[in-house]
Amino acid sequence: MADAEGMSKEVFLRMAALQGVDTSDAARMEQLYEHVQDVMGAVAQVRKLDLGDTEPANVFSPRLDGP
Amino acid sequence: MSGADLCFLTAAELARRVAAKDVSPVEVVRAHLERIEATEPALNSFITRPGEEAMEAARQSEAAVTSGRRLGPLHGVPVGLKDLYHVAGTPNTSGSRIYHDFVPACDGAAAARLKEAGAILMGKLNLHQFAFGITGRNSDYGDTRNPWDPARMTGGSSGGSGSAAAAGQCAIALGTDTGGSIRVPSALCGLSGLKPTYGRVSRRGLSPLSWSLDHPGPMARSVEDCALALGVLAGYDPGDPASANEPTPDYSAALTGDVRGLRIGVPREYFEVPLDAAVREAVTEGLDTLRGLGAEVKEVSWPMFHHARAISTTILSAEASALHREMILSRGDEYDPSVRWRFEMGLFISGADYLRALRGRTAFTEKTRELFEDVDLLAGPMAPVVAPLIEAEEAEVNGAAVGLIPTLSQYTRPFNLNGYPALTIPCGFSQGLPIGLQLAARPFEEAVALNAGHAYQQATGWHTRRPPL
Repeated sequence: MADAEGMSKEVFLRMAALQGVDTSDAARMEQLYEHVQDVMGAVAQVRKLDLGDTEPANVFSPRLDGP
Repeated sequence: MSGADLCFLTAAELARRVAAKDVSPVEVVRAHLERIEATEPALNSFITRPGEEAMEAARQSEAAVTSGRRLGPLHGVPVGLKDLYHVAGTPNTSGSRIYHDFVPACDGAAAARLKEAGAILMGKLNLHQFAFGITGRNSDYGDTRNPWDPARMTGGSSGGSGSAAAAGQCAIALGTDTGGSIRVPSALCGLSGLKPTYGRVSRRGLSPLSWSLDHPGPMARSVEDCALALGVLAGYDPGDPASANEPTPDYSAALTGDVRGLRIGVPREYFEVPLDAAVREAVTEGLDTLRGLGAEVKEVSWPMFHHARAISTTILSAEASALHREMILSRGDEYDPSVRWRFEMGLFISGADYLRALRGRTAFTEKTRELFEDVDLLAGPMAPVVAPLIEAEEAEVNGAAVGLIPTLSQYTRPFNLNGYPALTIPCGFSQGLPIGLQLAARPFEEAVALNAGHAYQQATGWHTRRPPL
């Protein structure tokens, strides 16, 4: 999907189509690609973090009636 | 006292005068409606202006005073709500014409608590569309404008809340803060604004942007009023899965003004990112004031600060896109183009990367917790620049152009990520525009930040300045 260099145009267009994004407007897709590259920069930075065995900050609780 | 003067009394003072029968709620609301009429063409704070329903509420409020009924802490106080807070019978647009006709049938938690406390709800306030932006611009309902200079932006996303409270259109405004959306407009408009601890204030009846980053909270012209509002809003709500079942202290009573011995840490990393020289000077003077009041101010190190933006951007993009996926795909051309990009970007983040960001969040929060073993507050700049011109796409910092969005939120995002409470207070002016100082505390220790902010405001007069409008 993304690596340190971002996402290739080919992968981007394939993913966009799979997600249901209307890819018919080439100029708009070019702009969206630039924005996606921005967020992929953040993702790449997160991938470089040394997280050891840290667990994700999402907590599942089987109780549905509050704490 | 003139109507305009009435509009610049604090909420606490208004409530005191109403209870003492020095002023009637009808007079108060009428003065605010006149103030709105006079200033709204320049500011565009509202999407739904208050009208007859506010006057009717004021008449009922007055009847309660006259009949000697028990009055709530905000009795007769005009409060504006960002147009994400559900109020029964009032349109809730989220800043988009897509929701122009959505009228909630029930009050959300905040509206219900405010009414119970006697507040008069004063319409619905403009915002950056779907709260997904930091400037306060809105192509559907028009840009919000800064009362200190209407050519300048309010900041966002709670831009209408910022302009309304700063201009005396209401005494307190509610905002929401997912990446800085209470604190940025508060700082740029010269207000005190509090992002409470995640879970402290219920999100029930609040149109969401990001489940794990959204924080509702108050914006006002004094810390005392933020404390008063938080006292009304805070508390466990089983209707919000994230609501915390924690004790709620008396925030107003906690405002002793005594900060002797308080340990305040100033991360050196705050000064390794773009920061305007005038803002830095004002913040340094603000910290000196707190030191002069008896606080111990010292430099600390928070290297993880530099990773907050990447982690929170990944989480926010993924969660916001998940919330809007169906609508962005089917009605994307009805979104503001700049907002549409943001929602679409998140569609390209994988589940694995989202979870990695959540692991990063755990690590970030753990480092914050360690930092707070040696300090009681973290302090530093709020917005790194004063309010930019409305059309600006970049911020100018010491003569260099930098990206507006990452720069405006560089000091706010860490506290959405870790959920810690953070308060901004005005600490000076540059070019006639306000500067903010941020004070962040441990989870559920809003009272510590509020008391430090109150002590500062007892010693300074920045928060008492009125915009020229």
